[in-house]
Amino acid sequence: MKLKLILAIGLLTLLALPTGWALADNGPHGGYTATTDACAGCHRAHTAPAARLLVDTMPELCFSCHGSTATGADTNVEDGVYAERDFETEAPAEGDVNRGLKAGGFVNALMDTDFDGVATSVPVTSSHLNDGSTGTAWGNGSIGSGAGAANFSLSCASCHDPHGGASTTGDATYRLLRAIPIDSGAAIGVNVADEANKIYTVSDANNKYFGEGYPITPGNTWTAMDQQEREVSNWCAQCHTRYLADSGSGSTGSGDDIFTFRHMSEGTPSTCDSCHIDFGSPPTLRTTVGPEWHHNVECMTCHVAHGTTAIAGGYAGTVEWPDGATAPNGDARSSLLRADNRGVCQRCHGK
Amino acid sequence: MPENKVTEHDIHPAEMEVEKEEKEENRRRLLLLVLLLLLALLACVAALFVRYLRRPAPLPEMVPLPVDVNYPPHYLFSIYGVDKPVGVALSPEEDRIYVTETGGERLVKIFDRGGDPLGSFAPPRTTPGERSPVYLATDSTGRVFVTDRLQHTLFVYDPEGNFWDAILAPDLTLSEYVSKHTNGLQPGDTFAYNQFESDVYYQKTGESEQTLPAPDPGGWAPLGVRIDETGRMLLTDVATEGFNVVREFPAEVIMAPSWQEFNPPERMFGSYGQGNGEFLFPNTAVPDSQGRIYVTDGNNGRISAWDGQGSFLFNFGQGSGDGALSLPRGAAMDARDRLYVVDAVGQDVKVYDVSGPEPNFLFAFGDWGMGDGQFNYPNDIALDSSGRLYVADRENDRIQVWSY
Repeated sequence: MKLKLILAIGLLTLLALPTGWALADNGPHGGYTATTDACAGCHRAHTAPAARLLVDTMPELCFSCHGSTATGADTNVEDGVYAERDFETEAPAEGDVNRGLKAGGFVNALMDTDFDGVATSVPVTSSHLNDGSTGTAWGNGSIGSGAGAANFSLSCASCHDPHGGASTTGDATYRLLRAIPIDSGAAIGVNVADEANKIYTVSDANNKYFGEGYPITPGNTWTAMDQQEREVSNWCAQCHTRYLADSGSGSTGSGDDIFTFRHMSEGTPSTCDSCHIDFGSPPTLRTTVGPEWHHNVECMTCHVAHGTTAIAGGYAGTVEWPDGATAPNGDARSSLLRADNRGVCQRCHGK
Repeated sequence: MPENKVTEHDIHPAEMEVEKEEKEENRRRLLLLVLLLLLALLACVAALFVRYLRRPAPLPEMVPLPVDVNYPPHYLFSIYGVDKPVGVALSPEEDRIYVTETGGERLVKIFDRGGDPLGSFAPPRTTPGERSPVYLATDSTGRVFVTDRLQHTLFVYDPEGNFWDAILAPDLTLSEYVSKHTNGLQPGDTFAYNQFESDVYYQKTGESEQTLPAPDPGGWAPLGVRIDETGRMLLTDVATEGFNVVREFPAEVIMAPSWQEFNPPERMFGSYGQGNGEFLFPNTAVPDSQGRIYVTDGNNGRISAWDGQGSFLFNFGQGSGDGALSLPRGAAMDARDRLYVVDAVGQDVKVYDVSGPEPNFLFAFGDWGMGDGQFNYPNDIALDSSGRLYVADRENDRIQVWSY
């Protein structure tokens, strides 16, 4: 109730903002003027049938534009595809339509999780919740507080702010990400800076679903990429608190009784020459690392944000949840991974 | 000699008893017969009642009044068995309802006028994750035209749902492409296209299946399709590479018996943007009886009116107050030049009189909810000549049937 009140006050405050409070975000998600018509697209001031003064519940409202019909946007998050060429970075005749979204999809996703060079559109095997149903936010909470937060509910607006300008300073953020995800319990907030060019898709229709984190903007220095990718990991860790780990966390205990030793999620190799023989283009890498060794390792190096089509059999399909439960088994244990089974390990470690 | 009169005293008491029993027996039989007849009648009534409960007949329809009276229609019944329907169209005889669904198997489903399922179809050689049928229309021969947002293609089927051809780009059909690369197609030859595959498939009669490299369809993105009674097709194109437009395909091209030579003149109007004469995701375009064309300009929240030569006339429906639109999607025009616009986020259908020089908002019907006559993200509408209205009610997984 308190949250609803805060949101309602926030909305009314937004409506009362003076002219010129323009945001970098596009479409109906920003750039409002004093006489904007955009509010009436999704809200009713006095007759709203859904919370947050919305005309309907989420995710249906979001899917009315971003669903599989894509009748109001090219980012089809149900099928995990961008319906047009990623025209901000490509000439009209270049590239492919229906390229896979970096985040995957909620119903289907166009991914190449077995690295056979062919991306296929098939139903997802695991996805973040988006319909208000409840689950467990694994790793949420402070050290030693158990497996995570149970009965955790998510909708699109838990992570994204449809009004844009979602940083703590009102600036545009990457994918409209809120500085603080709703109900995350985080206090400070993480501002993930927006891209100059919004690149929603993987860079190649085939076989480019691993290691393409944020961002892939050409021309960025490795140092700059490191910083931005750390922001994403820090953002994810506002809910999955205890997954955040720097290099060395695999051998140094955290003190947590469940998340004791952890793969790094915001780390970089200790020295440059631990991977590089030279820095040519392409660089020559040591044979001890796999073909897709990424300069930085962050959450999106191995995972997608919305949903994956990866399959998980054998050992991977029966790995228990952090609380020790084993169900569900099989592909549903794909855990938003970008590759089948534990292909994400092999892509870097090359064992 | 005195007559021998027989008196009751002369009848033997035993005979009298027999006679009384016979009478009683007859009375019992008659009673039993009446009872059986009553039971049979009751059984018939019960059977009819059960039959009615299992399949209620729609309420009788009201024939539209021939006078200039405007009032909202009323809810009749709903057709279930569709998963997230977004498009609806009627056969020329108005005895079939075609529905596109974007949930489940993502099929085009066929129903009869009473709502009973007749069949379903989908683009050949595609899986549910590779197709997303959205809007559809029929021509005077009964062919069904279906836009597919994932396939970037307009698929065409015969009335039974058998694949007939596909428009892959504004000036390219699948039959034309295959024909040019295979020395022509003959009746009985088959072909198929899937945007997610790098090959086009074809099979000539008596031969094995062959493939061709798939063409690059370019940057087009067909979304809303409408075909008028002459056969002219109006198609919205929401490609974001610099323009959102309405494309017009002349009747002589669309109604040609074969599309192996497909050379429509490039007729289109509009561009991408928010100003006059610009669109943000135009969903459907429908003509009135005077040749004007009305476009549901989705993300601009308005209707855009154009003349028959493709010149912009005016916008309406944007802003606040009665008749203001939130997210206009599918539209249809009735014989009296009343424009029906489905407002997906407004959760209703808004009706405008466009017969005069300026549009006039008449009324809206429906509101948000899951009950009879309530909508949950409606997306498209089709009208028939008896006054029935069919509305694709997406999140309620049904087609609502309304009537005057």
